[in-house]
Amino acid sequence: MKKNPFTARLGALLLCGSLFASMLAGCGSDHGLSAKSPVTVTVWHYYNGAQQRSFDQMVSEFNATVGKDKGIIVAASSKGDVNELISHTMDAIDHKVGAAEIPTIIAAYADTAYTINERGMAADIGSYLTDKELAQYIPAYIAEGRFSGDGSLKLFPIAKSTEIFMLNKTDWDAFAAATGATDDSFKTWEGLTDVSRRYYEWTDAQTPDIPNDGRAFFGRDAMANYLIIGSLQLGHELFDVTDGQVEFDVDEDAMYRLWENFYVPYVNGWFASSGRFRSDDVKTGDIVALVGSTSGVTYFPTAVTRDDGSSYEIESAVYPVPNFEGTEPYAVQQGAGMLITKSDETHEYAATVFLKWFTSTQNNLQFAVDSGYLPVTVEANSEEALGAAFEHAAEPVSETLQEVLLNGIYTTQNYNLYTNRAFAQGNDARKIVENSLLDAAKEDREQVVFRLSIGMSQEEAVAPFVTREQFSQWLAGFRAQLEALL
Amino acid sequence: MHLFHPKAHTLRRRLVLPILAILIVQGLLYFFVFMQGNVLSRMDENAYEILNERTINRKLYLEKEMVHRWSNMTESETAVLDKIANTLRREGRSYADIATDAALNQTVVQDAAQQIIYLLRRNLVSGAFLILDGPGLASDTDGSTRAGFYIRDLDPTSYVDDNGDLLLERGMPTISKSMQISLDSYWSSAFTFRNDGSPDERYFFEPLNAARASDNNEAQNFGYWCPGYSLNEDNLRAISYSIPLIAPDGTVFGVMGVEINQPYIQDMLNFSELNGSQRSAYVLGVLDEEAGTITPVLSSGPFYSTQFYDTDTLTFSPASGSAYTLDPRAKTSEKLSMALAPFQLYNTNTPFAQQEWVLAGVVAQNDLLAFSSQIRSNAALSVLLCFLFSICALFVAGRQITHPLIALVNDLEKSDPNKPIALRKLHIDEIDRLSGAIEQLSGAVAESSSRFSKILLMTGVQLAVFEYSDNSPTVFCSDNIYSLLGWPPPAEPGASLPASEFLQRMQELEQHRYAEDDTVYLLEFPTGPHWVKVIWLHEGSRHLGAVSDITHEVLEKQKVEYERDYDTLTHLYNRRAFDRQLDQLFRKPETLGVSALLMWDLDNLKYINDTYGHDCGDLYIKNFAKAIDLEDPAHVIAARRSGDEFYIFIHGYASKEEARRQIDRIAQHVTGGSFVLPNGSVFRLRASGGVAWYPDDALTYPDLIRYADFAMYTIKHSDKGRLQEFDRAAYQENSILIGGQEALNRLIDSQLVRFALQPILEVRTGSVYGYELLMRSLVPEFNSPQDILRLAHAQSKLSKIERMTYFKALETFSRLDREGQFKGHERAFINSIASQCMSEEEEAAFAAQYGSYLPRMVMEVTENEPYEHTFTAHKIEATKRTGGLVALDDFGTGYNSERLLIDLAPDIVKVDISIIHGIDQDADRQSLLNHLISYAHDRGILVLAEGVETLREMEYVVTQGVDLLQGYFIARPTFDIEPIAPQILAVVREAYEKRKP
Repeated sequence: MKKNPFTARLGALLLCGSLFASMLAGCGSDHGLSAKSPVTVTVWHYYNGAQQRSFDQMVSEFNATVGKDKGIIVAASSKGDVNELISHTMDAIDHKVGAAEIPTIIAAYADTAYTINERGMAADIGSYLTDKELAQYIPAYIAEGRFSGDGSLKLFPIAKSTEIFMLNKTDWDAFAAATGATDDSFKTWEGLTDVSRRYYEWTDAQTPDIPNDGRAFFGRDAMANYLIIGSLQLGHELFDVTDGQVEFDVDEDAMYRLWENFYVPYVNGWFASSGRFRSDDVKTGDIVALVGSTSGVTYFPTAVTRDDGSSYEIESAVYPVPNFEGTEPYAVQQGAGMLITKSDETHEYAATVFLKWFTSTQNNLQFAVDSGYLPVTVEANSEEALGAAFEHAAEPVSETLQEVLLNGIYTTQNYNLYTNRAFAQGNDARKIVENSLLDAAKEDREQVVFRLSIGMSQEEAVAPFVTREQFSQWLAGFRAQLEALL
Repeated sequence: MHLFHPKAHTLRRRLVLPILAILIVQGLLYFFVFMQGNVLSRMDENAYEILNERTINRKLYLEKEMVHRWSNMTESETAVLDKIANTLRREGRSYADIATDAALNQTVVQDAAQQIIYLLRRNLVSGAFLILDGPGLASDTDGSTRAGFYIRDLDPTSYVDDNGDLLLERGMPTISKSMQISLDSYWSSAFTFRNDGSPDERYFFEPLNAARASDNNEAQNFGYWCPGYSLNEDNLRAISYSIPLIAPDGTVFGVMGVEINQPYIQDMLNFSELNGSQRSAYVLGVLDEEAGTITPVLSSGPFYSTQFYDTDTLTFSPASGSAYTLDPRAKTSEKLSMALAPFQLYNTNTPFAQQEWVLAGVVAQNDLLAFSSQIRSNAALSVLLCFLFSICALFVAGRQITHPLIALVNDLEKSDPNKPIALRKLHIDEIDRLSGAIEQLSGAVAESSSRFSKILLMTGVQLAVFEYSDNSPTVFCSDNIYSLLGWPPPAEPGASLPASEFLQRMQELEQHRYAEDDTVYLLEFPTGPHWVKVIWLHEGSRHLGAVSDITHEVLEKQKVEYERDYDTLTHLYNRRAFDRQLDQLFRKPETLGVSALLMWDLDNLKYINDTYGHDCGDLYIKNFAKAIDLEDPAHVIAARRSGDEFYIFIHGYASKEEARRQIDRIAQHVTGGSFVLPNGSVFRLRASGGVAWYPDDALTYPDLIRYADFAMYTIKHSDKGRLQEFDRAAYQENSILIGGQEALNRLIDSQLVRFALQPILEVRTGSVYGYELLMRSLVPEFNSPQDILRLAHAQSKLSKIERMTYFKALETFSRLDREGQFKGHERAFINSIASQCMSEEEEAAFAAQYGSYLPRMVMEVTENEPYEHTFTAHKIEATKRTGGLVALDDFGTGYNSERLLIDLAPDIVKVDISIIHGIDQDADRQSLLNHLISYAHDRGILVLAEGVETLREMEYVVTQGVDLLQGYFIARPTFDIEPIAPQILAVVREAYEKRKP
């Protein structure tokens, strides 16, 4: 094809022009942003359900307002759950065949952030923020993001959560009225174990013809938190991290109390876990109460559906998380931060603009009210600010959600909060702590169910399991698993 | 009609000229316009083309995903239908039950759920569902719920093998638990449909109703792409593809499908590829071509939402070439260009084929056509002009050609087909030649038809034809129709018949319709009956017919039918006809009332045949047949089954008494009947008979026959010459003895047994001490080994069973050993048969074949055996000599257990289940066991507790010191070696540890 001299000349001119423009932009005050040629900021997160919808809605709002003006387009996608997110991220960073391009922003826990930072892939967010801006956030949250030890900020807080105790009040009330049980039981793990036993016995007694058909009272999500916080409360920090180096402090007596208040009630059938999450178990009537993250509140049901599909409405109640008898109150402080990957100034800055907008008091409260997460700025973290947000919410905020958030704020203000510190084997260690005790309990509960099915009494059925030897055996295995990581 | 050109021209000339003219003018126009244009206008065109191409490419990509990936459900459909069929079969239910039974539906869904997850994974979709058109909840009173299963995947492109990335939207809690799928916030156990035509419910009702409205059974034909719906209140939009579930019998009972949600598709619609600008968008929608609108299904690109936020319908109009302009909304003054790429989602002639999906690529026009708008309007104008001109030119040209042709056709239609046709000349060469040919042809046709008629007459084939049309006054009939149908011939040959008279005669003919076939008529001629067949052929207003004489064929057929259905000797029904008659009767069981099936068997026929010859035997049979033929076809059907066996079925009686009177009559006829033998003596008819009653004895005639047969054989084997009624108790007791002979022979000849192994647990070690080999019949007639033994005893075949037991049991045992299924040297417990013994040769063969296993054998001797019997003694001696053990079986069931124990000195004593059952609560049994244990242990005899079925029984016998355990509590008999459950071993160990020292 013969080249048209006119178009060739025009092309050259355009090329020069655009180069010039981009040079100008690069040196400009707004870090190369331009409304005419917007940059795309990709975000990978693990939100789903109500949280994802809330997040997406806020992204749309950003794109239509600030993003439109400044030339930033945020594209968010959910990777399902944390583990999925981590594996996708690692694949992208390793440039694995078929992996996606590295996103601009990744939702990450401290452990993951630590790993990404080790690869040199985490940008210093602090360099795009003024001191005044940083001072708006709760200092502990900012401190958590400065894990690398060189003063840089690698993880930006956007939403936090803690744990709370949630109750199917309707079924509880029936039990309490019949037996005189009170909600004082929810103050301690020992009390909870005891009331769970009584609930099991009470439900078992409803059908005198059928022995051993009592129902479980309680279930717990995030077993790692139970062990880590519980051990800490009993004087032993399970993951003792100094300068990124971990030592495992597995104390036999502390572990035995944790065992007695989880494994023992579990093999007895007083505690249970059958669905994927405990909120599912409350939904299906398998348990009555749970301890879980504030951010799981949107999954707490308003009705119980029995196995035959019939259902009944329930009311709910919220309490702070229980403690061990005679200990200081402790609770976990968690929630992923946002990590900005190293790319170019324009993208890194654009990502910061989005995160700042997202965590501005108004927006942060909005997300909190939608999702059950707790806000991260000092201003937003008060009952008054929350109360105002409830009032001004576009749609009425459910009573349960209000209670959860207020209890969450109460916990952050009255409990000792503990956040996992990052260390190299953090992800794997957490997995072990998450599963070890629960797996043992589940497996042995199956044995007990079998033993009951062949006609043993409850005492006989659990007898071989609720022994000190069984505990020692588990503990030895648990220790060995952890040590193997080092 | 006026013609422009009286002179004839060729048609080609007429056609080509105007079109050539159009092309020239068009070419000139385009040339003119484009000469006016410059480089910029070409760039505009390019821009549109690129927009169009990119849109088409994106559409092709999406179409491929939709058609080949997402909606590719053939495999899953088959799998789901199989699952459902299996479930229904297992539950003994039918497809119709789905419409009413919530509990059944829950089971069906549970069973098929895994397939739906697989569908979601395989098709890489964001959701998948299965919905049954039946209640989802037992509490559903208003029919608003449907059972089903709906899952979503948060990230379809990745896969988690523990279902961790799935959310359950609809489905029973049990599914969530068993599959570990977490429940969505909006989860509900069943679907709820208002069925008010809501767009959110189309994905279920559209394919369902379409399939029900058709009798086609191919589900894929009713596949429906639902253009946008929200499952929950969360307003998450999605599209779906769903197909109806159609049972093999045609019942449409549900829907399955896949969902692709908005975010997932948005990811695929990379709008910025359209022209690299952010001011662009993709819109997926459904096109209404007539209205020029698109109903958007979903869109990608923030630009779209700024322009068309919350818009239900997009209106567009054509622009240059393949591009369109999207009408701006009040919200914006931006002009938008659009390219449309229609999808090919449906096959033609399927119910949703008219639903046209399109992908629209939308770009701000100012961006797309950054240069001159002047040229654009010129181009548009020229296109418009060309268009108008073409229309005008075509109209004129068309008129010139069609006008005369129409006139000619009118002429042709008006002409009388019976007369030679004359057509006007049009002065168009080809058409005039055509008219001439038609005229010639019509003459030739008339001539040939008359020739054909003559030929028919000459061949003598009895075939007549007629023809008329609705509006003609006469009917053409071939001459021989009158003789064939017996009509009075016309005054002059060859004259046609007036239509009214023809129809009148045809009407009369209807009264002679022959029952068996509605085209055949039976006519009574003086020469006898005649059958004629009249065949009609209707072609619009024309009616043709042929009449043929088929008397010969009908008579042939009647003869053949008689020979097929009747026994030639007795003129009774033969067996096949009898079966057919009964089959028809049993199709209407309500007409049967009280009925009875009699089965007769002539006594002494063989004697008559042998003594007086077969002619005399035939006479016997004939006379018997006459005796039982009551000639009451309404109530009695008699048939000869075979040589000397007869069936009689009497039916339609109000009571047994009434029917029995009839049976008595038959019996009297039989006993009173006689015939004269060649030697002059009178021979009395004598037969044995059996009776089975409907409905008392059986509801189907094969059962009735079997029972009557049984009753007949019972009497035949006792005192002949009587009629015996069926007795169920006797049947159940003896049927195996009577009918089982052949089965037993089969079992022995082909060695149709196999052996199940039940482990015997050694309490002390927790390991398997040995296995008892339990015989199982492969012949269905035998339910239990006891049946085999009873019959074998009656038939004196116990020795063969004994031999088979030894050889087959060891064959099984040695095979399992070779396969390495045993852990160590487990023993084989064999049940020998009382007073039976293999021959010396057999023993030698056995030792040669299985010698290495002899030390592992344990021979079980029952206490009912006369152990003093030489054979038994020999066996015990032989077993002990080869290193095997002897076990005393069934201890505690007889009267002399203790004496046997002393005399026999076995190695093992097996305590019978009757002692073990409930032993934990019965002091007498306990005391018996304790004595036995103390006696046995003093003498080194092992005690085995048989039939241990509960935990408490096990605990009791183990703590008392029993050495070996056998029973359902430990393990059931199986054909392969399966390890004893570790939980069971654990509880046995616990009990053992509690044993008194």
